[in-house]
Amino acid sequence: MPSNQKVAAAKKAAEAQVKASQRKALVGWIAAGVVVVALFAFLVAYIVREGTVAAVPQGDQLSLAAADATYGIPVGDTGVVGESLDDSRVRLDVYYDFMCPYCSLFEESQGPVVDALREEGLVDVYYHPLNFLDRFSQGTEYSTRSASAAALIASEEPDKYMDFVQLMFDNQPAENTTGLSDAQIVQLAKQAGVSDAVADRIPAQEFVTWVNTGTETASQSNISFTPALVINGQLQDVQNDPSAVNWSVPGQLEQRIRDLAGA
Amino acid sequence: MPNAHPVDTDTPAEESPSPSRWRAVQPWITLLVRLSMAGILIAAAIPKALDLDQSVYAVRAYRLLPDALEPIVGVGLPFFELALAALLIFGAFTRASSIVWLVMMAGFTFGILWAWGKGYNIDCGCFGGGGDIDEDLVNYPAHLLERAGFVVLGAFLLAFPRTPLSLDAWMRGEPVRPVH
Repeated sequence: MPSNQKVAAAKKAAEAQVKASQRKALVGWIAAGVVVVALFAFLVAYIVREGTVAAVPQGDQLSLAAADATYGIPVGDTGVVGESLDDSRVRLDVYYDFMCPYCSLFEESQGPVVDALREEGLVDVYYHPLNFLDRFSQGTEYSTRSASAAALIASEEPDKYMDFVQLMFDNQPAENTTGLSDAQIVQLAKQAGVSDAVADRIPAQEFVTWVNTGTETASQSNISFTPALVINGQLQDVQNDPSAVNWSVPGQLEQRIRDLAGA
Repeated sequence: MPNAHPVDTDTPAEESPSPSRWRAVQPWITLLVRLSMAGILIAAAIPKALDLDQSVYAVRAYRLLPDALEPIVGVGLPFFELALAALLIFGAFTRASSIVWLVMMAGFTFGILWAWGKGYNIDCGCFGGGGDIDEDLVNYPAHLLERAGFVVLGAFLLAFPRTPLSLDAWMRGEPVRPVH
């Protein structure tokens, strides 16, 4: 083989190698770019999310003065939010979601029992409206909208809160529907005796941040299902704790509260 | 000695025709596997990315990670899945991607077994959603079967990462579309 041919071949091979390593570098940069974009998106999302759950109130979002640090709406023996509470009573925390069928079942079967015990002065009930089930309302976020409405009423017309919750569960929409419209929720609020001025504020969803933060707080204290009952700080986890109260067994919840109240 | 007919050195001439048919077909199967894995990742990531709070709650429902890590994993997972999907679509570093996929699947499978072993009635949250659900809706064997299918896909890609229409092929200076 003549030497100039050899040189040409070597040159060609060298050029090909340079090109190959350039291509390799480019692909490396593309992959690195994908990773950096994803990392950036993650950081932004993480910081934004921390922001939405950390500080309440934000802008025109309201906080609920009557609620305690766990985002519970307290109801004592008078049935009025924030009134006539007594630390010496048993404390029952009820975590619920307006879209949750079992919450409706709880309200139907245990609501009157809990109300009676509360009116007897044996137990203070702290209601936590959550939005775990937003994904079951075809994008209308019924859980958030309804919980925000409940918080508004608890804040502005504390004596109508219990009646409103009752009516909302009586008219509970099926899962995977759009849920009740804002107008329907306003209507139910008025039916519960809420003034027009307050009821008409429901569509503005002034308590969305409060609901989000309350749900985040609940999730952080290991509430991962609804309805969830916490009695004197003890989560009643029937799946994993044989001593837990099973509210679906008639009488069990009442018995536990009476035992703890010493009555 | 000049070769009148260039012989593929990997394929002895006397062998049955099936291996060479496999060589022709494998890159296209790999392409299909690669793109379906990307599709699965995107399907898993979108609902999580649209509701990051729910994603975090789903992670918490496993009661497996330390509290501080739960929001990082819950928020980070969909973006991680999308990045891996992008690499699979481009066909960049396919073999490495398949290893990442398999490690991820190992983690998820462990999570499902953990939840099952602990007796938690949770939706895996694999494709968004998640959290505790009614007992009759929990189907751990089905989730594990699904996982097994995903592991098979990943293992195939690990074994046969060569694929047409990929940055990998272009990077190696191979024809991006194999000529047959």
